[in-house]
Amino acid sequence: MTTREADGEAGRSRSTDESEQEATGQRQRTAAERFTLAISIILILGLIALVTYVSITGGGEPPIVEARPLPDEIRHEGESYFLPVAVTNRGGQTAAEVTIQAELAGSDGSAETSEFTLDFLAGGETREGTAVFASDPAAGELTVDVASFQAS
Amino acid sequence: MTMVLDRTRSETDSTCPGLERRQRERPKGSWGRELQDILRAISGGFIFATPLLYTMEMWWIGTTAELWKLMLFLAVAALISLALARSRSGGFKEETSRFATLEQAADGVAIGLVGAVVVLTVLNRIQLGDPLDSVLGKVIVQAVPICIGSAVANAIFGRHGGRTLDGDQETGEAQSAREAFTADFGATTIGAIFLAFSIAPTDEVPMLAAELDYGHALALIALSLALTYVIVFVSGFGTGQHEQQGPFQSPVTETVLAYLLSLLVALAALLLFDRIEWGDSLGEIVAMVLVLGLPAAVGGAAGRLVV
Repeated sequence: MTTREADGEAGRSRSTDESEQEATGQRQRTAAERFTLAISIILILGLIALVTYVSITGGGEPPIVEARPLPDEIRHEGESYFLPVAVTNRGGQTAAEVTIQAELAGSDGSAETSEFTLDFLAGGETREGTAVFASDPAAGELTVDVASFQAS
Repeated sequence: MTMVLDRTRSETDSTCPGLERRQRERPKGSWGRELQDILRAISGGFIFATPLLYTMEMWWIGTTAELWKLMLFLAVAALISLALARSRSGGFKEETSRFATLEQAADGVAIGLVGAVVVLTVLNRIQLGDPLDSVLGKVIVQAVPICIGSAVANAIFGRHGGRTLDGDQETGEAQSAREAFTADFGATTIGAIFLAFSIAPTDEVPMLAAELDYGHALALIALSLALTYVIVFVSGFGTGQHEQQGPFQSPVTETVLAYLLSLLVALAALLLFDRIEWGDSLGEIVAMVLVLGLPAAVGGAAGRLVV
């Protein structure tokens, strides 16, 4: 108490307005301050709890990436067929530059390939990409593969 | 204690004639004061952190880096804000007592966390279905600059919200409505240019705009307006600094005008950097202007500090 007073009086040249606040600053903490501090501490503890939970439950395993075409959601626009592909990382770590290759072998022997890349796929995350073909994927034989990814 | 209080009170009354009015307009009571401190912390945090919130590498770091490293980073930020709060010109409260210092560090981290969640949600960087660890990573890494920014809020705004309060008061009263308008207009534009130009040429703008759907666009507008209001409010309303008459001179009008001006600056910046051209689809232009409008608005509102 006294040191703070000395600090406030001697240590600083402040306007009178400020020194009033300095003086009132030595009061008991107000309800408002205790309220915000409590909220802050709850948030920080919550964060620590979440981080602990995540590190205990998940985490260490390297990425396991799977690609699954969604033939029910094919769109046909003009000359092109858009085939959505759901890509899931079942591992714990993030996979980067996930490249998906889709091949379509038509019944007449023609073959088409389509490829797309997802920048990042976090552990447990599912994202969608779209493969584009000129002929109907439902009519031919479709293979969708994960070509490559980088593990961090 | 009581003696000190009495003495300072009487000094206050006699030496500062403008104070009475200032105090009347300022939110009184502990809740009002606490709110103002928190708003000042938010303002400082966003002025400092906005460029980093618009950096895709920051989002990636959140996804790829290990959580304990990010927690360590956040702890360092908390220590920095502890040290700054203890210093004479840092922090966001008026006291520098030990308890107030700890309080500011804790509040700063909490504001950083909440701010990061809000901005990342509005910018569509985190969604409900996302894996928890990548969400946590993104939030923690963005909480760091907001936390540090909140710890320098007093250095930005001055301890009483109004920068160089006493000097400005005289000039403020002497200004005519038109001069006041020109000054505010200029300051907002310059501030908006300051932040918008450093973000406009980057790839984050089209990237964010591409994923901006209707709901997120509305949320973005609301967030931009809210931040503008908070910064405008903190930077001087109710402290007697803005006594001029003029179109910019009520908090709500001022906020709306400052935001519209910031959107214009964002549009101009995007045009100058060739990110948009006449002929692009209207939706794309609107989305990009709104995306860049947030940093422009934060900068524009902060620019008014120099008035």
